[in-house]
Amino acid sequence: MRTEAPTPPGVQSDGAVLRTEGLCLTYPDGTQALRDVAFSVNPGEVVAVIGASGAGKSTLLRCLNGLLTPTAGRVLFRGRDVHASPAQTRSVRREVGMIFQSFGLVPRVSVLVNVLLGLAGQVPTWRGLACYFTDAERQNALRALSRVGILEQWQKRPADLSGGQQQRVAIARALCQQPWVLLADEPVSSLDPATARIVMDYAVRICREDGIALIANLHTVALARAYADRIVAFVEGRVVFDGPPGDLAPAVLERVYGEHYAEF
Amino acid sequence: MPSSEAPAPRITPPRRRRTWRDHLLTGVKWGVGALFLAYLYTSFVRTEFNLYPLIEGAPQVRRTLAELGHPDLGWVAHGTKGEVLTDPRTGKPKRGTLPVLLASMNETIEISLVGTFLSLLISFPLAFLAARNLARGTLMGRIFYTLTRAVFNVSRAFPPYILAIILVIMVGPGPFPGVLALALHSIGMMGKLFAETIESVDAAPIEAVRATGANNLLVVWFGVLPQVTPQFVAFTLYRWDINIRMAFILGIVGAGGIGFLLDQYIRLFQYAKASTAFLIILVAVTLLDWASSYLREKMG
Repeated sequence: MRTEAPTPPGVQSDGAVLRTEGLCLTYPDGTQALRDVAFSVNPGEVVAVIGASGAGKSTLLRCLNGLLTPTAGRVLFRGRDVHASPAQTRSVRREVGMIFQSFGLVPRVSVLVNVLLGLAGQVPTWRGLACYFTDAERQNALRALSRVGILEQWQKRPADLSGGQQQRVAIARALCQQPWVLLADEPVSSLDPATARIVMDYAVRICREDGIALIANLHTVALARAYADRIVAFVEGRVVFDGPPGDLAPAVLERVYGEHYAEF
Repeated sequence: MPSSEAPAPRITPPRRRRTWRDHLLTGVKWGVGALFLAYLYTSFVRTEFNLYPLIEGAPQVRRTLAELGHPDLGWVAHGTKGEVLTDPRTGKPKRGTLPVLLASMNETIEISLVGTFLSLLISFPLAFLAARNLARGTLMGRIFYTLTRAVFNVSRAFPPYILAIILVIMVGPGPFPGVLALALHSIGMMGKLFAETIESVDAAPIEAVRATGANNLLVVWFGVLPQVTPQFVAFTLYRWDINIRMAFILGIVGAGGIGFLLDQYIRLFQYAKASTAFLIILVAVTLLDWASSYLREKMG
């Protein structure tokens, strides 16, 4: 839990915690994944990103924390250019949590160590290598685990947990970083609908409690409508809709998912 | 079953017409086959394959086998009349064939252990540089990738036997050239296996650790290492297993261990002693097989 107020100094002048300007990304094979993407996210806002497969959702999220480098444009995190230098990128990543469709947990180490790995960018390298964490850090990690409701699993290995529990470990890992922003790349696409709801409930509730901005790529419109304050829709790397869920007209969805969308 | 009033029409799947190129290819295949058979025949002739000496030399074979069937299992050395030989200086009895051979068997295992350990020490860090998925991106990464791959290839290209012959000439006979020969060859073998294991890891944990802002060392430490540890341990045990077998043979070119003594006994027609060496190697290899497969099963 962050100690600072929800809108501290350091937030950009227009109030956004994260902003992209004219973001373009073309892969070496010529695929234009992002075309002139400009949008901003306010602190504590829950934003759902929707779009058909290959529309650029994952590419966007990976640009936001520097896992990918845009070919043009820039990403500003609290006024800092994310891609300015490798050191700058790492410093931004420390303050931005991320969860993935395939969870990205480290096998053969305990759940607790996985959660503590959220601090991998913050502790000195030797402490990371030795897996040496202070009591305060352990307490912090255990608190994160209890907030996602799986404290009793702390000694187990990720492989012994269900998919939903694994994603909750990943949320706890991100939470451990005390981030400003949580990026969620298809966080529930590999989970059944009921488990997906549980995981989304935890993620959204915690983000709202802590004032963390959540940017989630979601694979269904229903999930986006249920959780998001704002929906951003992508078609072929372009933003075609950016607004509250109530304004999301069927015509937009047909443009996003193709003309047969209504049949499903 | 459907009724068979009208027989189902025959299906003739469309077939590509054979071009002159196809005919040429067929000709080349038969030609290569014929050449191979001819080479196989001349190989038999030139290696003087002939069962007759085995029959003709039967008495000699029988005598050799009889001597090999009576291993020298003495703890102390005996003279020609059966008396116990003593060391003229200390007055204690000289060590017999069995303790001498057990000590050199131990030396063989030590050679393989040190050789394997040294190669592990070098190939382990190099393997991370030689993995394509980690080297991708930066120019330095690609340079290190190419360099380490080249080192591994050169290292694997020399059979340990040849290396040992050269090293015995360079540093003199004894266990040390054996250690070096095993280490040099194993660096390439283990490094290549390690690097390929690293290339097959799941990228998700790597990305996840990177996303926390960790530096490259920690990304590899947590994103890669836990995924590859079981295979690395298994490969190392397997390589040690192979290196023990190799160390027997290296002894024959003067690189220490029980192979060195075995070679001497055979040259001096001391078949009883050679038989003891064979026995010890047989028992050692069998035990080793069991231990090695048991361990690798446990690592699973």
